Amino acid sequence: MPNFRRRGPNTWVNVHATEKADLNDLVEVLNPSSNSGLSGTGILRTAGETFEQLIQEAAQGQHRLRGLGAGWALTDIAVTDGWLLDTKSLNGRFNVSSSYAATEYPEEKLPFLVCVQCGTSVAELTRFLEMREHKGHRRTLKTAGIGAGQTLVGAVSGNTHGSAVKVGAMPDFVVGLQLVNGTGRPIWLERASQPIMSPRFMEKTGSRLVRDDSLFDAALVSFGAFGMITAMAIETDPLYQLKFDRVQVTTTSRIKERLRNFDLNDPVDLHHYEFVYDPYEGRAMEAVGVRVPFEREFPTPEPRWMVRGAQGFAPGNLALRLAWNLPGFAKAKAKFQFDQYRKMCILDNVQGTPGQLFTATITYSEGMTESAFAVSINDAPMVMNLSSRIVKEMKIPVIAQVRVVHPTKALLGFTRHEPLTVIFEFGLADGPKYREFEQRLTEVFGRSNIPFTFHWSKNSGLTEESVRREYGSAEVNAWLAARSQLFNHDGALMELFSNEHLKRSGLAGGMNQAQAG
Amino acid sequence: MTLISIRRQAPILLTLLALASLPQLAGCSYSYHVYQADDVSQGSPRPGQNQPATEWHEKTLHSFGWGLIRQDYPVTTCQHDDGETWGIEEVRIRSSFLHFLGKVVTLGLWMPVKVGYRCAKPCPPPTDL
Repeated sequence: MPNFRRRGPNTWVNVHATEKADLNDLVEVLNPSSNSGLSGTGILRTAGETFEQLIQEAAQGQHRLRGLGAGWALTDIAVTDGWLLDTKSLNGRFNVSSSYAATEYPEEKLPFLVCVQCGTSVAELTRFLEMREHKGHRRTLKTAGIGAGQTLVGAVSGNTHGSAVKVGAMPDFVVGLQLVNGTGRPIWLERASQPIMSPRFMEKTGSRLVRDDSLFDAALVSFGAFGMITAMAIETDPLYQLKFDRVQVTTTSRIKERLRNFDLNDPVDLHHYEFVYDPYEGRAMEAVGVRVPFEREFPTPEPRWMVRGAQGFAPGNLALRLAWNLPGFAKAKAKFQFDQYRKMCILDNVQGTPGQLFTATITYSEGMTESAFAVSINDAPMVMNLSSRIVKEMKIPVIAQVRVVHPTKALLGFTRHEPLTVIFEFGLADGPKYREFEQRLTEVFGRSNIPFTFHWSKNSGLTEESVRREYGSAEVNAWLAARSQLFNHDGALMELFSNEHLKRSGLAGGMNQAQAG
Repeated sequence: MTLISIRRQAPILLTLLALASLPQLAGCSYSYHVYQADDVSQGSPRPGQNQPATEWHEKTLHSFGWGLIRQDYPVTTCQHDDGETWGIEEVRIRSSFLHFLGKVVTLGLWMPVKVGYRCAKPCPPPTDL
């Protein structure tokens, strides 16, 4: 029985207060209570029916709709003027028994296969995986971003990346998607080359099985444009720990040298590599994490990215924006940020599981945003030079946080650059300087022939031209064709799941295979 | 920077600070947050604060006559239809410049404040398929 609660017209603001939307309706979608006695498949089926009903109602009233996760995206990528479907209460996570797994699925991998509902946060998921033993195994995510507050589906759909140099980004551990998009029944989408779930699972959840590598890779990073992703199947790893040595302050010159000769086995079992630098002073610091077997439970370290003091005092919601916008002192403010980052943010001389280490949650810095983009590791030293020059010319008070990750398989994944992707992130106040910074980056990268892609959730505005330049027209057309196919080429349904962000970036329509070439 | 040059620049800095503060005065001037947080020093195995199940439910509440009349905000949304409750993850108390003005002008006779909350996550369903 469909289960949701309407809150009516509403003004919605994302967590960082960089986006505001006047909604026709904010709808909370719920699981049945624990008294309902429903099985896991029954819960997945109910959620699918609920979304299908809401989509049909939205179609009748010609309201556009979008799914809402934790609201961490800094752009309007998840925003709508119609109905926003809040999924955060859908927090089921299920171990998969052999009767629900495809016969081709390797039995030894089965204890590590987990089906997760869309509203489950990363923190909820790692607690479940790391603290509950299943068939003699404790498990954990293959990789995660620094944060733990996003919903899994939100993190995957926006290509949250982390810094796993041998694994990839969060979309790369996903092996199945339940997609509800108004075509009658939920679609269970997986790769033809990697069958995951069984016909019995399809029957019990009321899903229609689609096995197709291209469609799957297109839908992985689709930021809500393909419909509601209501559940995901993910592959996890046996519980492991990451060991970070003491952080040493070094120079950008040394970092560039390391990037030019990057060795995936230096140190042995390297798993996580990130660095931070001050564009003004050339100071840098590295966080290098090696993967070690889980030995024993270490005490959880004090959470990073926590700005609250012992007595509860923290910067006010608008304090960072106020400080950032205070004219002058760019160099001093960057130096201050670098020192605070070392003290409060970077993983330093610590060992723990991913669930113990990657715990950042939002601390309410309203009006602050980020500019993030990815390049190949081959171009990263040049990008450090070029971006530092722009920072200094514009006199903006920023430091750069940089993470290295294995390229993703997702068709429009922005972490796609071979042989390794390097993601640069600059924290800025939302405003004209933010847009000017990205415009100047785009110009200088174009002049220097450096391929780059902006983070889908951290940019000042994408256009159709910029998206096609960044990803290539063939890839964009293939993504549009996949979208169209999964909507049964129904333009009205595609329009339901479109928003201004998609329209601006030329991703709101569809395309048939012939057009896609 | 010498002490003398700091003294010379102090009025300029204060003016800049005041100008930069104007947008704050127009919007919310202060806020308090009360939220669930795991205390890792007490052995909590995994930190997990800021895990709401809903967006903000928010309302301006009023108190009159120096507290003689209060307005409550009953929470009816953090529960299933059968009455199974989930609890509250976070409470936010905000006051705008206009609220502040109202308190000063009425000498505390009228004390408005904006109160919001987000529900905690419901108990997750069974763990096996």
